[in-house]
Amino acid sequence: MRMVVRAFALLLLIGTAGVWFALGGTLGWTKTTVDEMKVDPVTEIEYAVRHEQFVPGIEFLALGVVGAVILFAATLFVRITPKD
Amino acid sequence: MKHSFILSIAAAVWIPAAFAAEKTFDFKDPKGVNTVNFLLDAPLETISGTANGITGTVTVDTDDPSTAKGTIIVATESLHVPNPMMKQHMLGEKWLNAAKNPEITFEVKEVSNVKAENGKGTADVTGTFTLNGVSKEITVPVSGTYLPGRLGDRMPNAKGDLLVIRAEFPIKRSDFGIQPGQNEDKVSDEIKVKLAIAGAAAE
Repeated sequence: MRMVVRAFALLLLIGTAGVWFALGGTLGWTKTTVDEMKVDPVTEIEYAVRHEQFVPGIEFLALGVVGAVILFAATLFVRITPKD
Repeated sequence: MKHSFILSIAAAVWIPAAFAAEKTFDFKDPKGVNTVNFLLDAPLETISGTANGITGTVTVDTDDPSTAKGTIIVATESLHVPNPMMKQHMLGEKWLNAAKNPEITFEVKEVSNVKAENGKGTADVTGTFTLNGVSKEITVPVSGTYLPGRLGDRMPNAKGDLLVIRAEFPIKRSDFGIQPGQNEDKVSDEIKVKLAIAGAAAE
């Protein structure tokens, strides 16, 4: 049982890092919109076109790491006994 | 004699008016290009965002930019930062209080130091800047480009002129009563404002 929880902690750590990386994670806060910069050909004004997109931030990564650490720590201090 | 005097007075008033190229430019842009960028660079956090809810008009004699008068309005609700919680705080009661102060405005009072040539120029624009319900007179360096007859290039079947205004200037949130002295490690006191807007004067 202890090994199962530790494996789950490792999975959570790798999974969080993987999702963070795959979605173009940022070291700032999580974003739910991304700006694409364009230039108006007549006025030459540079402007942002906003797109809805989830970009996980540092708090997303931190949550996964902290969750994994708590799960791993629990296996060190809590005795898990299977029910008969 | 009396009639000729009245006619000469009327001519003196009306003839210059007829030749003056005074136009009113509307800055409500249906293409959504008009943008205000803002940047707060604090030691612990950098916040950058945009606003696109821009309206207002500027009336100017295109031969004499120093005659410009008008107001540029930004809808407070249109201020956007990419993090939804940060946006909620920014527009909330403790910061910009968008519900109570729905508009950020700049009313042009005076245009000085005009340097203009071939439809392009720079000037110092003094006006009343209102943010968070607090008004303060500021002077902003502005550059402008007058594009006569170019409205049709942006809006098919429309005839008229375009006026592009660019400005970059700092303000202090403490001057406008926005949490003065609070959280300056994360939300800097200085806000760098960058504006690029185009107004249309349809014929």
